Amino acid sequence: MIISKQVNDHPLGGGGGFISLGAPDGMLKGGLVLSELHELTPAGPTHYGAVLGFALALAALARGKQGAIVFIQQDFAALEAAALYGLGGAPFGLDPERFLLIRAATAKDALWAMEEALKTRGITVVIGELAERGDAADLTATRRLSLAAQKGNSLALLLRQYPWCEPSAAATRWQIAGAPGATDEFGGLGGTAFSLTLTKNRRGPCGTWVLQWDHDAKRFLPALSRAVAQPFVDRPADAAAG
Amino acid sequence: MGAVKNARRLIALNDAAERAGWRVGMSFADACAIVPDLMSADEAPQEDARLLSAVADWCERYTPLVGLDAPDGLLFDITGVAHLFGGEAALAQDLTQRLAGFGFRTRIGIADTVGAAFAMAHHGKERIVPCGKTREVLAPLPLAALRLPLETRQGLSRLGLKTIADLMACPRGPLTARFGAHLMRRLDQALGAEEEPISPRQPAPALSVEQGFAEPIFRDEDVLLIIGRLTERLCESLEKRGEGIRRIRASVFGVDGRLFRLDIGTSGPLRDGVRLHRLFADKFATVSWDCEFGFDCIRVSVLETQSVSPAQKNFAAGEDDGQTVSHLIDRLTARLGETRVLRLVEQDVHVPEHACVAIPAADAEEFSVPITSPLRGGRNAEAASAARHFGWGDGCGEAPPPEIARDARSQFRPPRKGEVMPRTHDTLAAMRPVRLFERAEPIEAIAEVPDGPPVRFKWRRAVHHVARVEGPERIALPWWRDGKNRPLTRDYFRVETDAGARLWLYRDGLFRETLGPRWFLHGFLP
Repeated sequence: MIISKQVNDHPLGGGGGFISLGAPDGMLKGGLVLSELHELTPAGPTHYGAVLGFALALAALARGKQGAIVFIQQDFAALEAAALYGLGGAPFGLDPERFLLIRAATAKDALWAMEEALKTRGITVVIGELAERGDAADLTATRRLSLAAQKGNSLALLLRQYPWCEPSAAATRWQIAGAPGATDEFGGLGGTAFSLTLTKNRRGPCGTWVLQWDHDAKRFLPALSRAVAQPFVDRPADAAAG
Repeated sequence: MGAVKNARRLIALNDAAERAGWRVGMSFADACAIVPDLMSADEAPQEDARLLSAVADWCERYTPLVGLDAPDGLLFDITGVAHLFGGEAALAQDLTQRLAGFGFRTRIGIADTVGAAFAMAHHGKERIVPCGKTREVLAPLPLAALRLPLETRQGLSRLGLKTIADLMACPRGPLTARFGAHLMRRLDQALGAEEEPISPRQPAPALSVEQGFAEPIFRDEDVLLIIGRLTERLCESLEKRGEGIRRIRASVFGVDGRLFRLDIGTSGPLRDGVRLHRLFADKFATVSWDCEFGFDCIRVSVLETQSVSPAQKNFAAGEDDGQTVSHLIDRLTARLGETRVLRLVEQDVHVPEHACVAIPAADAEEFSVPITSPLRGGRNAEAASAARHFGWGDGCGEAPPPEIARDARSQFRPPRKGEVMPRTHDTLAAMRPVRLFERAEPIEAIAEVPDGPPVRFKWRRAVHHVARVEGPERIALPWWRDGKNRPLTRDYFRVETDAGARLWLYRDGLFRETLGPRWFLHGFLP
């Protein structure tokens, strides 16, 4: 009881609001916090598109139709995982004009650019992609990014190419993959679907979900949860006895 | 010493050599015969040119208009500059002294025209030609002072013309007929009858402020502080003219004769001293200057301006303490470089890699892109907009209300006047990838011949099985280019693997175009 109270009272975010994802909202205590840093990792090399797609979906939901989206990519990450394609934002309702692309030679430059962009008015989402594990974004660097996101009231998304196990100051850490099995009635590909695994959550437990994105309504559709274990629930002591 | 017409000849001599009796042009063998122990070095014209450029750079402290007069001279345009140094004589004295400090011996000539100045510097006795007295001063000088080629000079001396006075006395017609037009042109240039401009190495700035120091300064912070102060003064003058800065340069002159330049460009006209100081600080962080002897002069010049309308200060608005997007772009451009801060522009082109190109953000403001691409807006794109201003806040087209999207019959009715039709897809999946490789990665794919979709493919040494596929989308590259190397037609497939990942593959070439078409992975779909 005492532990859950501490989790609920943990100070997070600048009060900027939440992005409602649907099924994971229960674990996230309301949704993905807007003015915070979140980390995304692909489940494998073929899932690079799913990771960026999920990041763009969050960007589309973050502030809707206004504001610039900054995409910062380290040069090596662009070689390994390919650079952003402006016309690919169409399913998420993002015009190519809204993007500001920054190519950084080193991880340090990328982190500096992310911090500067987060503090800027008029920028709502900053997506930064580091090559490999992104070793340069350790606890100190991610803490700085988190503070900058809170101060500038922007959403910060840090994309790494391999999972990073060290502690970091991100509010949540996700592993994203494309979800198989979505088809249309003719046997072709169905709508865009993501398989999300929440591996670190400051506000609650972790879980796995499959979410589908609606291209026309530009939002996530409610989907089934694939949580294996019972979610942690605060149960009073006498209910267990009785 | 260098090779002239396959014989080794002397090119340049020092004082002791001239006293020993050598002359320029003498062959090396003859010179050795006169004085046996001879110290010589091969000529290095590139090194000499580089040295001359370095000296010209340093001499910019006097005037920004400095031209090279190969191989060993410099041309200065000191119109309106001499009074800053206390007069022409004082300027010449200062220049001679400083260059002597670097180890150069100089001869200076100051006159109304380039030709006369050259003549005084090379052959004249005094330094300065008083205004209007050019003819009298040039008269006794030899003809070599007029920059004439050797054959012309030899021909003129055979005719008995040795000094410029002799030349001026002769009639022009027969001389031009005999020697060509350049003879008279050189004379006219020297006397001022014909214009001869200097071609300066750097463009003349619109405005310039400089500060010199009695004691050299060493610390980086001091340099930045002085640059900030000079920039403030420039901003004040520009405010009176109603202009803003687009390109600005800070030149820092070292005591040992080196010159360092910091160039800043902005995406819009800027007049804010604080912002410019930040841009300079960002740029300064990327350079590493090692000057042990310090800097003794700093000059800030404005290279390009743009008129700006004065902004009314709004008393109702709140404190403007966050930086805006345009300032962020300027700072990132200053620190990372212009090619690394980009914006995306759509083009009405079928080839996917050119359909959306990245251009430097600083130049993007002048772009206005008409939306006619077939992927955007559907059939009535032209009705929706003519030219769009490149802005952040316009947002995308409105999502159609759910009733229209789901009503299958309404998709086929003709559009009403002024209505923008919703985008019509032929697929539920995304049509274009969210990531695109700059160079498509080659893969090994197994597919049914000739037109079948891939069944299995190997990318980066891992085999992936295809669960579902959509396609082909045939994109033919411009056939009108290069008759021999016709680019092949591509068939794009949207592929979903067993694991659920979606990829954008293409087969490069049809079976009727090429014997062995290859497969590539071009991008990742969301």
